[in-house]
Amino acid sequence: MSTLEISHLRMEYVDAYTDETVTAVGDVSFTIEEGEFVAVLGPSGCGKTTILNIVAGFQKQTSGSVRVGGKDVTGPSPERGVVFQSFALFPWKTVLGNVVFGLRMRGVPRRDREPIAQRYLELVGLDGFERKFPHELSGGMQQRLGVARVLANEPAVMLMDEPFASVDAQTRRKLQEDLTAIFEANRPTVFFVTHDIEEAVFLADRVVVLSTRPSRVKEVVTVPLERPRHWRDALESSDYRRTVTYITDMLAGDESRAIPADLDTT
Amino acid sequence: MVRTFGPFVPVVLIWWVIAEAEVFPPDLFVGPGTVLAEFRELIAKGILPAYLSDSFTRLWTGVLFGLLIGIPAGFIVAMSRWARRLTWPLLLFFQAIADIAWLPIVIVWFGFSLTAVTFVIVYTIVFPLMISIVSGVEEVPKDLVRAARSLGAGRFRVFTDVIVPGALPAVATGIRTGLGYGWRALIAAEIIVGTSGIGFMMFDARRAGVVTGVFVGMIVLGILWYALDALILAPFERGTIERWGMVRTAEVGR
Repeated sequence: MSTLEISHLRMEYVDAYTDETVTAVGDVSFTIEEGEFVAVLGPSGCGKTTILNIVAGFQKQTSGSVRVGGKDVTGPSPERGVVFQSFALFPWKTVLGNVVFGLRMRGVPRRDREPIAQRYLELVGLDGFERKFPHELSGGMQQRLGVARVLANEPAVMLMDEPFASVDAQTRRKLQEDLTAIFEANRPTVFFVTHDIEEAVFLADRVVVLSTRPSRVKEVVTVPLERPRHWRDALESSDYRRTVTYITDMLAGDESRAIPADLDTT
Repeated sequence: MVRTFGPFVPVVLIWWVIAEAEVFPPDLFVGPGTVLAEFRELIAKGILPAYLSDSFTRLWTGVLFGLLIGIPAGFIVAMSRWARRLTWPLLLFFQAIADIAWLPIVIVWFGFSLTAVTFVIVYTIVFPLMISIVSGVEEVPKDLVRAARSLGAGRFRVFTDVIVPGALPAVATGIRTGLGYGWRALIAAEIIVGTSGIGFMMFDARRAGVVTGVFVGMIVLGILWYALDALILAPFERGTIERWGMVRTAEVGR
């Protein structure tokens, strides 16, 4: 049994302005094994965030099923922690308070909370910042806090929705390295949504490549890179470059076809 | 000290020059010296302290009930879709009736009493407070609610741990505007129904043709509002929303 099983997922919604039924997610099936890092990659507007929202329990699918640990997803749950593009940290809670929040909600005894939180803050390199408020941290540190907050809850799967899209390019590289290090140390199961091919290949064990809307799985690409991974090695590795080129070509064909389709809808 | 009192120095100076130059007839426009003397006298006679405490009792009674009603009512309307649909048109309708416009009927109902004044203050506080709470709750980022839900918070904890603190900037703005309106309503009520208080003092001085009393009243009003802001509102905001980096909404009321 896989940790996450998505089968024949379909999502339609009625556009509020045009009153037309839009199919955001066509027919998507894939699985994620325990301790595996899977990136879901696709052009913008292909419905990949919709898939994540359904897995998170924020939205209800039109048809198809999402199972985590064999059980159907019915709503949000701490077994599926989410790292948001907007960080979504609680501004009125300290760094420590943000990490402790999930533990409190799950009823972890008071005296155990702080040591657990401390361990995850150390894991993401935020020890020493416990008493700061989120707005006092840099963007990169804020998102590391977002990761610690989720991991402290020990979810069955960590869902990441383009988590590094709103930080500058330099910081993004650093965060990607940090995330691989955290992943290698902690081995959580990760569902990572991105439109950045290089990011997907660098981070993931497998990349689920989606087509344009209505999305289908074009191909699931296994990334032939060893761990631990570092950007320096990746950029020099021919396996890395070949995989990136392979996916780029796959999506390029799609994109040229996508343009007239996009014009149709507007 | 300089930051607090500095801006007032030129104002007082211009006031003094205008009065000394007798641009206006001296019995209609008095200078700072005369006003200060009247101030001293009113305090010495015990009139100003007594009126101040009367005004404050009315304000606090009104504000207390206003907050006790406005805050829960605001959150109920904000959280429940049907409560909103049911009450929103009413909110807008009743907010549009100016506080003073209620005075005639309130006097008929309650006479020249504390109840009448309290009613008007409560009225002026409740509606702007409710409306800012509703918009404050709407402004709480959806991702924060989602984050809390996927960290294990149930609907009640989402309310207490996300919605309430998230709406705090709006609540602070609402309390600020509400208090401002309430303060003005109090003075208006005292002028019309008053038997004591700062508003009554000003009106009484005008009736007696003593401009100095009116000047004293106006200055007292300004000082009191300034003190209220500096001693209560601003420290509260500094300790919460400013510390959390959530000042955007609060600045509107400043």
